[in-house]
Amino acid sequence: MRTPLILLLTTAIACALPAVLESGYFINVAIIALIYVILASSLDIMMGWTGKFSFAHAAFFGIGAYTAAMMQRSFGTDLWAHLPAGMAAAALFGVLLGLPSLRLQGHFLAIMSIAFQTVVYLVLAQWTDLTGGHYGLPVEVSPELGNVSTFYFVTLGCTLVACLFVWFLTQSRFGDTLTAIRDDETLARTIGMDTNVIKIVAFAISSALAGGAGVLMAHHIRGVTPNDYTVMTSATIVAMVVLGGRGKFWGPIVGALILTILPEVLSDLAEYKHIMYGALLIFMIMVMPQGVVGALTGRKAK
Amino acid sequence: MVSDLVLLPQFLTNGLVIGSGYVLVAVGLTLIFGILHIVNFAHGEFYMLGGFAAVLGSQLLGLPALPTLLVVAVVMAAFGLVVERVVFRPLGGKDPTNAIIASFGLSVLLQNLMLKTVGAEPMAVKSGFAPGAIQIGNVFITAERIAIVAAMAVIVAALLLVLRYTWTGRALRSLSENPTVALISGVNVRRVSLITFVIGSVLAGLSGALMSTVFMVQPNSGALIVMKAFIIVVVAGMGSIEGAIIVGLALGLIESLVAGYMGNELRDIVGFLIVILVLAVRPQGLFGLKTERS
Amino acid sequence: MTPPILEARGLSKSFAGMVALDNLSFSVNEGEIAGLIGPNGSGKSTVVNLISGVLVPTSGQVVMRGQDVTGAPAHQMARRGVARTFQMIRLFGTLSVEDNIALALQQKEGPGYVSSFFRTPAARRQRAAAGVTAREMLKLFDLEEKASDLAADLSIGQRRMVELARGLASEPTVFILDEPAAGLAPHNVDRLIEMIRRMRDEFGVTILLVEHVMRVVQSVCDRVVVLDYGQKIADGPPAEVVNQPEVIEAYIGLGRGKNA
Ligand SMILES: Nc1ncnc2c1ncn2[C@@H]1O[C@H](COP(=O)(O)OP(=O)(O)OP(=O)(O)O)[C@@H](O)[C@H]1O
Ligand SMILES: [Mg+2]
Repeated sequence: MRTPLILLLTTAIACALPAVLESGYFINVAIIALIYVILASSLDIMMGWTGKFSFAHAAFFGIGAYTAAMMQRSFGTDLWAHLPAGMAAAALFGVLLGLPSLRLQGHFLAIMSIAFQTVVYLVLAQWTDLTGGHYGLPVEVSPELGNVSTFYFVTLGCTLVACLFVWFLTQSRFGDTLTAIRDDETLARTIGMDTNVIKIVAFAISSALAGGAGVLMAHHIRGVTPNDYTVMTSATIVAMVVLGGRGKFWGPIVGALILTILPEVLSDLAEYKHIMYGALLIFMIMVMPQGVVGALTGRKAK
Repeated sequence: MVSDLVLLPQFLTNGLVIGSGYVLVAVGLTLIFGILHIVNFAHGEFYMLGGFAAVLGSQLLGLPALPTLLVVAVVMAAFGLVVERVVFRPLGGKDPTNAIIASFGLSVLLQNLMLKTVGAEPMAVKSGFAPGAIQIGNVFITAERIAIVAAMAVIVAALLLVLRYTWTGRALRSLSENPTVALISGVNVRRVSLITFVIGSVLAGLSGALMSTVFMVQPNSGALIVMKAFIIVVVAGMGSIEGAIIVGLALGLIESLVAGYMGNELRDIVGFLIVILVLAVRPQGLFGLKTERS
Repeated sequence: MTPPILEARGLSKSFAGMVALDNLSFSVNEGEIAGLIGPNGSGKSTVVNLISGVLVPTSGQVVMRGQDVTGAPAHQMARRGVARTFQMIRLFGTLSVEDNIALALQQKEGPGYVSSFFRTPAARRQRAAAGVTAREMLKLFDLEEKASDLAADLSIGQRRMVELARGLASEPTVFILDEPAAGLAPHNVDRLIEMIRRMRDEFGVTILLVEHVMRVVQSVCDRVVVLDYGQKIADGPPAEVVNQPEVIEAYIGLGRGKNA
């Protein structure tokens, strides 16, 4: 139970951030960093804990964001309605990708997820009547959330809940089952685990969290465009998980924070960030495949 | 309806041209998978680099068509050699997960490196052929397009001959089809892997060079092409060269017909829906053998 | 008469046209230690995979206590009380030895996924109880001091014993062992023989033993089925079976399926 306490403590400290950072710009960066923490942690449920690839996480991120924008366009709803709806929509699509992926491993799964990511992107970019095409759709934020500090606290709260959820999930029997599937799926089945159901549920949960992150993002940047949800965004999230360490609670969190804050701090680097992510992926895999947190804690620590 | 059918030969011709480009990329991808057991997610960027190498040859050096292709082949061979040595060999034999992530990283890296160096503007490769379309019956076709199909046919025929009749080619085939026997009969796996990777890179590069005479090249040109190549390789069955040729041409034709008769925006989606279907129903592909692991 | 606990009726399996198993029928009675032997590649592991639900037969039936369970997925077979070990030992390498066993245990009487998520007192109690049982099981196999080691760090002999402990912990009705003596040192083989007997005598588990090492087969099996090229060539008490000409022939033609 130490981890949740550290998490609460970190969050408490993070509450002071808007007071310290006078510039709204840095609060914006902090919001983006938090959104990516949710994305990386939720991807790690699949990549790290279950050992299943997904290069489609940005698709679920986008599905959440577009759900918010389209709901608001049709019904004039606000963030609190969009969050559950965006998560549900993303979960639904997660199941949709999960079902045909059940029998797939390794390369095939990677290809399947990239294909899915591409289909979602093409639909978002080309079904103009529904999605606004390349120009996307606007999203309005209700006045009480309009202040950037307020939105920061909302995002911080959501991130805390998401991270706690991931921690409890991975420490529970469900997490043990995911680890079992990662280590040896055939064995997991022969000791009586219904691995198909578990994998589908894991797909749905992981996608739902990404969808929630998408809703936050849509409100934060006040709109959606398809180019925010491409395979490059998926690459970024994968890079965060690999950098921090797969299958470690703090891994994706640390990875997401480093990769969103670093390009801002070294602002000359910002325009090279995708080059950096690509190089980093290769470098980490070759030199430190267990990630920063993995390297620091060693393999026995849980 | 009548006017639709009049266009059919034109659509089929267009499909053949696109399909030829796909075949070259997909054959390299499937060859590499058969020998190295890695899916190279950066293969589309090899195609894109081939396009830029052709820009270098034809625009900057002002070379005619064939020498330009030679430049492309040499550049891509050297590039493939380095990548195999530096990235894939060290990762070989370990967790395939790592090779997948590394090649994905390579794809992101190459795409964005080119974006920074040459910019996002599409560039054309000059073929030096006389401009204007030639009319054959109802079909209009440019010299470049004819050249793509012809070059694909020559290159693929040459590849199949090499695989069948040279010692290296046979070693390559046997390693892909029956690794145990190949190892026992003394095939040098490292050398064959390297050669395979180089061949695959050259094929992708040549495809990029040829296709860029018609469609232009830009840093993200490879992204969609590699997806198409995945589709082809998965549908054909990983490692099946003949399958990749058939499915590659078929995908080009199908896309062209879909674009012509059902609307252009559906063209790219069709392939992905096919691959999702094939993966879900028959993961080993249409031409692949079924292997159950226990 | 009660029906046999496990029955194969005309089981066949082919892989890409290659027939690995051809119309095999045999049965295992309650409380028996039945042997399944045969040269390399004769189809023994395929039988295990078909019965445990890892593979689906091309034709034929798997019947448990008179009930047709053909094609039931592996996790359902496990819940019906079929446990197994693997020829190439399989353990969850990144989990501790204790967790490997506790995980198998929890499939039957573990906490629900939801209550385990919320860490309800009952769920914690159940989880702790699984740990205790797992340790007891390990003690039985002389492995209690290895309980918190990672499964991947044990020696082959110890890993074999963990596989046995895992299977036994799940309180199976039928326990299928696929070549448990492979790679064991002679003194470990003696230990294995003792443990197989105890599993039946003390825990009442019916055992189907696939084995190459004849010493093990002859000292524990009540009955053996002999396979050759996917077909049954003999079925009877071990002492009789080994003297049948077909069996001698199959084993003297040794080496022919070696690479299979
Ligand atoms: N998953 C599979 N895919 C293809 N062929 C298989 C598969 N499993 C087994 N075979 C083939 O089926 C035949 C029987 O194999 P099996 O493993 O059942 O034999 P075995 O009697 O257990 O042999 P051993 O003593 O070597 O363990 C062999 O020829 C083997 O190559
Ligand atoms: Mg066997």
